[in-house]
Amino acid sequence: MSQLFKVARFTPHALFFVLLSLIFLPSIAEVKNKGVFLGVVILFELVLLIKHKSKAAHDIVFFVFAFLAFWEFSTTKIPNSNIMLYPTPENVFAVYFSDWRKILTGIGSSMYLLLTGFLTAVISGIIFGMIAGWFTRIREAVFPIAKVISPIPPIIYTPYAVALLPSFQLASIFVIFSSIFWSVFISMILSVSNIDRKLLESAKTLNVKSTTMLWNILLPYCLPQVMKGLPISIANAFMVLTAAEMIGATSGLGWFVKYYSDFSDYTRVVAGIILIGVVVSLINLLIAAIEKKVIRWR
Amino acid sequence: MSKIQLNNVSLDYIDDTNVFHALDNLNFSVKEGEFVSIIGASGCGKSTTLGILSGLRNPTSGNLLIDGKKSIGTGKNRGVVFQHYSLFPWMTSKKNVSFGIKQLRDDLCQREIDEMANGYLKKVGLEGFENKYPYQLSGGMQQRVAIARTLAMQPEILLMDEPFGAVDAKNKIILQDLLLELLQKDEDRKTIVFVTHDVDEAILLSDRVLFMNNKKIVEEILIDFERPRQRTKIFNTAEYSELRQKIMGLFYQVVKENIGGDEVVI
Repeated sequence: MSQLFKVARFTPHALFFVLLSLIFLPSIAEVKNKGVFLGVVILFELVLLIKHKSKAAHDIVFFVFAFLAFWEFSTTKIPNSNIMLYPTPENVFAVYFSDWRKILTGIGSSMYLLLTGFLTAVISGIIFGMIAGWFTRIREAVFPIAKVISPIPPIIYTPYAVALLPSFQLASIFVIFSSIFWSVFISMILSVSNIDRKLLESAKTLNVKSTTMLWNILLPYCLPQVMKGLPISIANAFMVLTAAEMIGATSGLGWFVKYYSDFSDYTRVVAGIILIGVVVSLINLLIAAIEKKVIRWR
Repeated sequence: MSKIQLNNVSLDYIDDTNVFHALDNLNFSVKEGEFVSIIGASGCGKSTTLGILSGLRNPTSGNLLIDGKKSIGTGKNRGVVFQHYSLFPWMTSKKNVSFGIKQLRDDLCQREIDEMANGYLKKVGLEGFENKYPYQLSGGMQQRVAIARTLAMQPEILLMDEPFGAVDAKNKIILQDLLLELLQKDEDRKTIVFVTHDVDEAILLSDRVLFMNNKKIVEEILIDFERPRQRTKIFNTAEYSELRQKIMGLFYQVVKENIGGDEVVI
């Protein structure tokens, strides 16, 4: 096993040199700017050198390099009949340099919509869910209704929301809101109504007031479970957002992909797709960091 | 006047069509400053009785008097320590204790509350553990925090529901001694009702033991060892073994009755 691991440790570095030589060897297709792609490859190698103790880092970088090497080889070293549909990695990554202004405003406008919808949905979902979970009568009325509404895919609302609401921004905030609100609301109701009876009794014997019960007992009790669902919610919300942007926006990440695919500029389309993956991952890292900061009692 | 008085208290749980009797016509009183243990086999109704005393459950008939006044619901004059750790997992030990103080004393500022919380944690021997979360403490330590939280609220009546039932043998002895030590000082003297199934614990700690069986109190045993008590001095006396035998005898009787009757559970 240890022998095998030694080989596994070595392969990503070997692939790094293979990639470098592929980049510097002459290309069949026209390559405008190698710099950004080269930079990305070197960045991965540097991260690997810093994280040299982690087995997972070796395996992940191995797959990334293997994929990039295949992509690089198949586009620049083999005669490619359709360079427009299957662009070279150099040209894809070069988009981040040439279009940086458009990309930054795109990220900005997407994040504005996402954050506004996300925060309003999470905050109101927590508050209403807590109230509905705590009062049995409200719960019994609201929960069945929520169970009917929540499975409707929020994407379905998009065309109607865009037509109904005065601005595109408002429409997409509404759609993002409804993609997150129900899952937070339902998970809050469930976790409030399943609270450990011992904790409740212990709070009751301390003579807590009802507001204290909601804010100091129920909220912290339910927070971990709600936060656990957030990465999935945010991924859903992002899906809804990019779909909405494809319908009515004039900037944003989803718009970027849709706009250039209308011009058959698939280099920019691929660049946009990769960018969306990176942005979603960064958001998830941020949520994990916040979770670690907020929930310190586990 | 008794500090606590139960008059003809019964409690029934009604579940669809079945009626389950949890307590059957309970009558007893506890004097101010008295330490009373309720002992009995599991399912005899001892924890339910404590639930009535704490106000978490309300009797179906009969009533609970505290200082001669009818009492409904939980109250500031009573503090409860449960068997299972009832600490809030998202609060450090100090926060748990100060949270309890805050519910009663809105006249104190945060600094005074913190000082008080630290003082009580020190009393139960947890100096240096103020900023630990419950998951970082052992079971015995968590129970100390729970005791500190209850004492810090300075209730007149202390209700304890098998507080050392889930603690290992060594820590149980330490906690029992701690309780004896804390409660024998006159200024801290409280009226205590203590539920347990441990015979030695009941004799060591209490002034009076109530033996419960089948939702009723069937026997009352006075324990008149002098206070302050010390485990080592009491345990070797003839009086102690006599008391122990008497209570064990009651347990055997329960076992015999159950096997003889139709409730054979083996």
